[in-house]
Amino acid sequence: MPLNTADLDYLRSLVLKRSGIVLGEEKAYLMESRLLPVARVEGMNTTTELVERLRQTQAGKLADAVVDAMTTNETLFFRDVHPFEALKKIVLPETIQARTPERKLHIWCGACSTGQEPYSISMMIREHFPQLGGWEIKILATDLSKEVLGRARRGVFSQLEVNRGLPAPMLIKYFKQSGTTWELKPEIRQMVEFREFNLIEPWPPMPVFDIVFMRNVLIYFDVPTKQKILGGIRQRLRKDGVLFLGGAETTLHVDDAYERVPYEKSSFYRPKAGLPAGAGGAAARAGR
Amino acid sequence: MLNHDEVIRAAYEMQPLPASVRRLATLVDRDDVDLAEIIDVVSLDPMLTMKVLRIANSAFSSPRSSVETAREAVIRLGADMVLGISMSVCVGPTMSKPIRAYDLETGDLWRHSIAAALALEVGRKYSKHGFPQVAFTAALLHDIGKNILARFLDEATAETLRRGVLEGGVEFHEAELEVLSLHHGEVGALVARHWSLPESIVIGIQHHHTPELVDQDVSHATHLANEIAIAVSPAGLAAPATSSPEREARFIETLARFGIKRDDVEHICEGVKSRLDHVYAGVS
Repeated sequence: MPLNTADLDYLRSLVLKRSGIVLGEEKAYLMESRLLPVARVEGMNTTTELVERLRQTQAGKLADAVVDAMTTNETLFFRDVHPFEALKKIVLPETIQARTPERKLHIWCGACSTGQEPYSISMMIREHFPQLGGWEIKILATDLSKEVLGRARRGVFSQLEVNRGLPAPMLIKYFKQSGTTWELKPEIRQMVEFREFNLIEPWPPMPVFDIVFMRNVLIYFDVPTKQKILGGIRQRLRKDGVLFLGGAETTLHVDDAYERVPYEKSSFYRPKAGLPAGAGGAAARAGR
Repeated sequence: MLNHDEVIRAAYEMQPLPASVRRLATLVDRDDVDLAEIIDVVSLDPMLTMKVLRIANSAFSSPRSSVETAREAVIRLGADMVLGISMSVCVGPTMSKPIRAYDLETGDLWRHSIAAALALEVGRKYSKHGFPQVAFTAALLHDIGKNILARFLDEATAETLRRGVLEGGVEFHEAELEVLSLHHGEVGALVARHWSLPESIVIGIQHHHTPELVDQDVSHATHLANEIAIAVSPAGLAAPATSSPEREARFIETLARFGIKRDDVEHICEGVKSRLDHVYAGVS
């Protein structure tokens, strides 16, 4: 049975409040399709019953399950190719040169879903930057969903998932096949630390980063939320740090304290020079 | 919820391709295609020889004189088309079946697939750079995943996908991704891998809706083929009600990559239309 307008509005508002994700009115089909399995797991037959239960319980695990179900976890290895080319050819070489005295590299992947992006970065570092052996490399990967983080930590992917963007030589080199699944080798898995983090809640203490991946995240938020997230990143990005966004995302007219650096078929962002430094800039000057 | 493991298993249960077809695919994928080797493979397969001769003498290749041997037919058709024809013998019957979940009647999908392959054959004349040899086969097989995926779609799920396209304004493969967490291109790629086809064909099939994700010539060529085929021979739900700016931008980028002018798209569509019926009859 389709959800009525009041129930749809209630669900949209619940998801917005808890995750910042904006679900348009045209997404009714998606809410019904993704929430029916949630209802069934809880012993209900319809999404209407699910909304009724949500209204009674207000928050808690059921609301978490609804937000989880409505979060898009689409991801793939080396997504869009070109940002990773930029990372390999210019961003990492320049960053490594700048950080050689301290031999530390800190990277953050926001909304990492099941881990394909941070693992792509780990594999790239292992494959192309052997000079980083002995460095302190920290890749922090965060997401709001406990469930996807659990899957990310396990590092086990189906044939369909490894088919998404992973070059065959890397599959052979860094994964072990086990039946119909592929398990990432510990040497790559151990390079990434996964942590639960909701971007719209108060941000916990975090290290200062050299490189931040926040790709295909902002598209789900309204402008004030985008501004808050971009501002938060700036506070935690070193003065010469780099931010990668998704192909359909930009800082333009949202946070003009970033400048866009085009590179071949992609681009990345740096904090503009000369603007008052955030905590990131101050921390960077103090050598962290 | 769709069980992905079951979909993977179903893809892997597809009947294997004959050794001659796999051999042809490997030969065509090489940078230096050796026609002599292809002639050898065709000559050893009487059924394939017959099919190749029929197509070489049909309107598909606009013959001025008839050809009588496998050698002449291969030379006239070219390596890419011979592979496509050999593939059509194997997949034609499967891809001709009706697929209710995708609103496809008998023959719709196969006709659309042939239109896609023809789009590259016709489009070659208008392209400054040509297409990869294997793109013809990738175009022919680009929707093979629908045959597998449809087995798992009940009427309610199919209806949700329809609503995604009509109410949500997303493209069909996006609706599949939203609702099923995979799309038919990915399932088709599983089949192509199971068949040990060259990686470039796998990529063309997997990314015919998302060429920019891998940004390879074969993904863009298969994308172009599908877009032309949708214009000429729309197949069920794949036909969009309206074209989004993103979709148009992707198409323009693909045209630019092959040096095809926007105005020539109409000529390519006309060329495909004029030959589609004959070719469809010839390979069905």
